[in-house]
Amino acid sequence: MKTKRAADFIFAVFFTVMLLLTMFAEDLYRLTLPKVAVEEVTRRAFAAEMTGKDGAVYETWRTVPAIPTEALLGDYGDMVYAVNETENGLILVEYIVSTGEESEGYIEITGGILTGTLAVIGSDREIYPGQQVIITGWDESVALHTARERGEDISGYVQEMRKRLLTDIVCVVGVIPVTVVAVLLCNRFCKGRWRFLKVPALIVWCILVCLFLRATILLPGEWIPEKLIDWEGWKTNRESFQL
Amino acid sequence: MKKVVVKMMLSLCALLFLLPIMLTVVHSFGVQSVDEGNFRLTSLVPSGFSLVGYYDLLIEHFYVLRNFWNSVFYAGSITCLNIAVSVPAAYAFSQARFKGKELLFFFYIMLMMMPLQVTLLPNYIGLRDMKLLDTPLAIVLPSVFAPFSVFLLTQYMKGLEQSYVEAALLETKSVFRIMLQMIVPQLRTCILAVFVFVFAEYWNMVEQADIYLRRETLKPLSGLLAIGEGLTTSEVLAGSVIFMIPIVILYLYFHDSLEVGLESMKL
Repeated sequence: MKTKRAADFIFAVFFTVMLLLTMFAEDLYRLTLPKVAVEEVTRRAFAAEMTGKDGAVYETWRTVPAIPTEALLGDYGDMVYAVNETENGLILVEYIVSTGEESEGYIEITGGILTGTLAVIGSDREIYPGQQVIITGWDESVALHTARERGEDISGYVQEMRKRLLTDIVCVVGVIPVTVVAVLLCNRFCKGRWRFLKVPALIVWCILVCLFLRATILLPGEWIPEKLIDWEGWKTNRESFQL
Repeated sequence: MKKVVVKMMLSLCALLFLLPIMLTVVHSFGVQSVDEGNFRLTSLVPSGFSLVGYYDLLIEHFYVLRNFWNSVFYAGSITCLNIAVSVPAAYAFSQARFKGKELLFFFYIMLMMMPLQVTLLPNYIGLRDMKLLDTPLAIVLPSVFAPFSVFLLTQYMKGLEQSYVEAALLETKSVFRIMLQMIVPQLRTCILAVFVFVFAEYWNMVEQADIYLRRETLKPLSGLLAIGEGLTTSEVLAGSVIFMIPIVILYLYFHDSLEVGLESMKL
C-alpha cells in the first residue's frame, strides 16, 4: 500500500513537472535571453548641395544607407551590433562601419554594413557578439537600460519600475493564500466518488497560477542571469542594477 | 562467519550491479564531475552539487521534452496495442484446434529468438514500400506484432483449466465472449507482467528510432540520449535520470503483479 502511495506521489509530481516544463520551458529560456530593439538599415534621403552649370548652388536630396545614431557603439562610435538569423536562432554580429553625415537622428553609412541588416538600437542588458537574443519592441526595460547606457536621467523610469515591481510582489504573495484556499476547497469537495478529481484539479490550478505569474511578472532585464538557477548571478545583477 | 562473508560478497555484487545507476544519478547533480572530452566518469563522487545539467537539458534544450512525450506515446501505444493483439493470438495458440498450430507456434518462437538486427532490414523495406518511413507508424506498427508477449501469454493460458473453457462453451458459442469474460479476468496478473515487460522494452528502444526515423522531432528520448548529439555529458546524465523515472514508477505500481505473473508463467 505504501509503495502504491509512493508511486502515486512520484507519478503525479513527475508528470506535472514534465507537463509544466513542456508548456513553459521555452518561455523560461527566452526570459534569459537579452531583448534587443532593432531597426533595419535602409536608404534615407539626406540633404545635399549641387552646383549647376551656371555656378549656382542648389539644394537637393540624395538617398544613402543610414542607421539611427543610437545604433553606433564603441569608443570611436564606429561599431554596430546587428542581428543575424542562424540555425541556432538570432545571433548578434559586430560590424565596424564608416559613417558620413548626420541628420534627424540618423547617420549616413558609407561602408561596412549592407542595407536590410537589422541594426541593434537598444537592449535591456549588456550584450556581446555571438550572443543569442530575441527581438522586441522598444519596451520599458530596453528603454531603461539604453537610457542608462547613454547617461540620461532615468529617475522617472526607475520610479515607474519600482511601482510595477511592488505590484508584482503583491500579486505573487497574493497567490499563496489563494492557493491554500484552493487546496482546502479541493480537499473539501473532492471526496468519495469525486476523489479522482483532486489531482487533476490541483494540476489545472498549478497551470493557472503559472499562466498568471507569467502574464503578470515584470523583471528588469538586467536582473536576469544567463541561467535562471544561478543564485549568485541574480544577487550580483540586482546589486549592480541598484534600482 | 561463513554466512557473513557470503552476505558481504552478495552485497558487493549487488553494489556492482547498481554502480552504473548510482554513478549516473550522483554525477547528474555534479559540478564538472565529468571529463567532457572523453565522456568518462573521473571520480565516484562529484566535486559539488549543481542542477546545471538538468537546467541545460530541460530549459536550454527544451526540445528534449518533445522527445520525452514521444517516448511516452510510442511505449504506451505499442504496449496497449501489443496486448490487444497478443491476447487473441495466445488464446488461439492455447485453446483453438487447427492444423499446423504447433508448427506456427514454433515459427513464432523462432521469430522471437531472432535478434532485432535480422528483422530491421525486412521491416525497413516493408515500411519504405508502404511509405511509412519517418512517421510514428514506422515505430508503432512493427512493434505491435512482436511475438514475445504472445509466447508469454500462451504459456500462461496453457496452464488454465480446460474444463472451464468447455463449460463456457456450453453457455455460448462466441469465442470472443469466452475470451473476454472468462479468460482475460484470469490473465490479469499475467497481462500486467507482460505490460511491464513490453513497456520497458519499447521505452528503451534505440535502433528502430535510429533507422526508421529521420526527423529529430519524431524520435523518442532513448534515441536522442543514445546519440547525445548537441548535448554535454552532464545533460545526457540528467536525461538518463529523467528517462529512468517512468520505469521506476511502473515497477512501483506493478511489482507485485510482475512477481506473481513471472511465477505463474514458470519463468
